[in-house]
Amino acid sequence: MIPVERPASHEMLRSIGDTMRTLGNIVRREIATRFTGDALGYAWTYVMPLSSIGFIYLAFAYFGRVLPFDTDRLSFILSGMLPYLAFRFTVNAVVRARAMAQPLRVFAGVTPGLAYTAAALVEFYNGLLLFAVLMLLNFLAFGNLEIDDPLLALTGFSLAWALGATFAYAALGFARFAEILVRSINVVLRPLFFISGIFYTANELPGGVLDVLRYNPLLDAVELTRTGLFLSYTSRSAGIAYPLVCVLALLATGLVLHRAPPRKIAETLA
Amino acid sequence: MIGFLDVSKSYAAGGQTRCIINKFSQLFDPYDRVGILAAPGSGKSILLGMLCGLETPSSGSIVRQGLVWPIGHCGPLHPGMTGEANVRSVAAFLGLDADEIAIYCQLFSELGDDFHMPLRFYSGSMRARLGFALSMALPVTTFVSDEMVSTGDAGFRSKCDAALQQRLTHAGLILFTRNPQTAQRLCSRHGLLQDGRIEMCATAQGAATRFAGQTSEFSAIVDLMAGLETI
Repeated sequence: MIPVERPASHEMLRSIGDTMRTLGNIVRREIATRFTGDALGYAWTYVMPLSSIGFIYLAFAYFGRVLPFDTDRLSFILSGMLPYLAFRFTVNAVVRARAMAQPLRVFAGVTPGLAYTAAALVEFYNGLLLFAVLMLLNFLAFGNLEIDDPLLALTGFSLAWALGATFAYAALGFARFAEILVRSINVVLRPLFFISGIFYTANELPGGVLDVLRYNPLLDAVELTRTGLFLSYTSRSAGIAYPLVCVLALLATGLVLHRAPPRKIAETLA
Repeated sequence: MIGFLDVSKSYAAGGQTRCIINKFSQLFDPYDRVGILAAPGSGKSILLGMLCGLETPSSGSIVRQGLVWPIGHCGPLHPGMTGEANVRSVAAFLGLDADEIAIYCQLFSELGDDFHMPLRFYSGSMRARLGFALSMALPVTTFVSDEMVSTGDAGFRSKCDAALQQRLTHAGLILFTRNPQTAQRLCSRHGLLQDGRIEMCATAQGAATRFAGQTSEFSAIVDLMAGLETI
């Protein structure tokens, strides 16, 4: 019998199909197993960010924070917190995916990269859903709904998410030779809560301070989201290029670090 | 083929680097039934982990063909999911009929309605029975095992033995064990793990004799250390 040789494109399509099927399986497992030990289960995904937003709302009310432009308090807080939480929760999810993926590597198609991608995708979906639900609640409860440029707001939100995914990917790459880097992620990222424009806008910052904080790409992502949401606000620090370059640089760093043999990395750095 | 190609594996422990194997190559036919006698602490779990993809070699390549599965493996079973959801998830990853796998596992493991409970409520024995049932349900090309070839009470053990013997008529086995009788009963090729290398022997008896010499040296060192501690 003469073996039938399949064209390369056919093999490639089959390989892509297999990868997508495995990705779907990891996503389903990630959703099924998240917070399963708890009575609230998957609802924790939304309870935790809601409590953070509620806390900041109360803090704004208590300190009498005057908003820098014409909008309501909840809309302003959401414009800062939602992209920040997308970033932060994506970092957590991708880092957590490393341990989740380990026992699944007995399946030939499961790679760490695929597990990180699945965790990041679930987080993107959660973030978008949270975004939509909170905007709707704000409209239903207070009659406030401001979405001036949905595409720009979505771009800002997506960049914040992509920064989180690629930052975690690069950090896990470094962790292949220095585990301590993963354990110190929370400490390293904590200042971002204060320097990413969550409680204030870039336009409120003095020039010198803004020049320094502009190195934080998350500030751009938050400001893009805010500019996209509010008609009465246009940020002077809301560019797409800089955070996008950071995303690509982090991705490239992660790819290099994950492909290099651990011994070689250690020798290079020694 | 299944095995190691120029594989080295080392890991850092307590500020020191421990080398498990160094530039080691050994290939087997995927349907071979190979018993490898290995002393505790000789690195058999890491070798087994590399063979089934759970561990990555520091350098070199692991050759795998078909589905390689550790007997009784519970690793992919998540404590938050029910027994049924877990085996269905495994079936989905392998592109198998989930209904067929789930029915087989429920019947073989004798879990009854507990099959529909989250794994965190399972006892160790229940988990082990489910893990074993799952490994018998999958179309495995080569089984690998670190000692485990059956589980449960006497009745369940004989059921496990029968199922494994039946599966081994069309699947291979790489068994790391310190029990020469188990290796002789299940395997047709024999070797021992020594100094980070698998050395094949012509007969089961030959492997057992060499292994006995190796373990008696080990026991002598343990006795010596115990003596030093009492001084």
